[in-house]
Amino acid sequence: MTFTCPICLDDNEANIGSIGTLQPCNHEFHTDCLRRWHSYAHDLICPVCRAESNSLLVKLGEDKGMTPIKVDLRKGFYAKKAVEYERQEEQFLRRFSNALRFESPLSRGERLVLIQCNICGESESDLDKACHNCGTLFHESCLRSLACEVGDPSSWQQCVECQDPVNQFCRSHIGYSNGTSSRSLRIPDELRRLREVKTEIQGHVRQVLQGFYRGDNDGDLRIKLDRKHFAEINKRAL
Amino acid sequence: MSRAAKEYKAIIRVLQEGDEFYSQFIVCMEPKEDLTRWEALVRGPSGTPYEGCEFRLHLLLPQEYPMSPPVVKFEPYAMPHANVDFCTGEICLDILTKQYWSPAWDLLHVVQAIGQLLGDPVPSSPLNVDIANILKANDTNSYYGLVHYYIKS
Repeated sequence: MTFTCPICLDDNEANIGSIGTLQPCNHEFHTDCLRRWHSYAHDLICPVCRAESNSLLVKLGEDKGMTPIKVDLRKGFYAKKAVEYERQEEQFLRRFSNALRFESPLSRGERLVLIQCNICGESESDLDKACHNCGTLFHESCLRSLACEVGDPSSWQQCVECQDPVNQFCRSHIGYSNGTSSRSLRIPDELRRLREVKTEIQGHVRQVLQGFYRGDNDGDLRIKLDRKHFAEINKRAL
Repeated sequence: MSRAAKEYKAIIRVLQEGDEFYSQFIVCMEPKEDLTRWEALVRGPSGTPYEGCEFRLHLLLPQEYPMSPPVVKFEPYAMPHANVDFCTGEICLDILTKQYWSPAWDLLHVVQAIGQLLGDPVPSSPLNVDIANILKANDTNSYYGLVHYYIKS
């Protein structure tokens, strides 16, 4: 049976690209069509059956045998009304600047390696990819879903920071580079907070981008993101 | 090929084959000038005061279609119905609002839904208050009388 996307009605095999399956209702769409719809819709209801969806399984066109990637629709890019953005932005900047003021727990010359996925910010679960060039760590699943999110699934093996290809990672690799043994630090509260802030920044950037891509014609939903905003965000981040 | 062109092909097929479900209500449906402006001629459903009459619908596809719903209106000054503005032909129907629209619906679904609306007016959200009040009072005779008066004149 051939696949017809319910949104663009295209059933041409050649144009398939990637197919996304909404969970839990299992209806299939072109990932691009569905994401475009989500940026117009006010909710995450399936266009076909109106069931509320929570995640999207993305299959990549060029590799049909691959396990689909799960994208969490609520966390990743649930489009909130942009009217709320400005208020959130203010709150966020206030909290953000407080959290960044802390004393470094390291003495001079000591190097700190945060064992943390650069995308999701999780540190407890298994990290399986590392960039040997800049030392950044990732979850493979995070890299893959990020690549899907930006619409270029084949780029997942590139390090987000320096574009080098990522390699396998194992924990014994850390902290040996200068020959001295590494001291394992108990993660101080400040670092924990820094980590939370980082996750928050990422969430915030996603939200803002979502509003930006929306680029829409309803005046009240338009998000105004001008140079001033960018400058302010950058200033706080430095 | 654009989505509107695909729908055009499907509509021609459905209406030529005389699909039982759709051809009860739709007499003809075709684009005017380009694929963003359509006209449909629909038949009053049996068992309603509109039976035996034909009505003209204007459909306008916005640029973002199917992400945004089509704008559908009856010919002005031609449709007496509780949920249709008589002067402009504007229709009050939830699936035509941005909030309830789904991109999985097409023009045939939309016109069919309007057919259902002719048989089941919703007097609680009226655009024609006179008819809505008569419906609320359950006065079937006046309802038929008023609708016929409008249509015939």
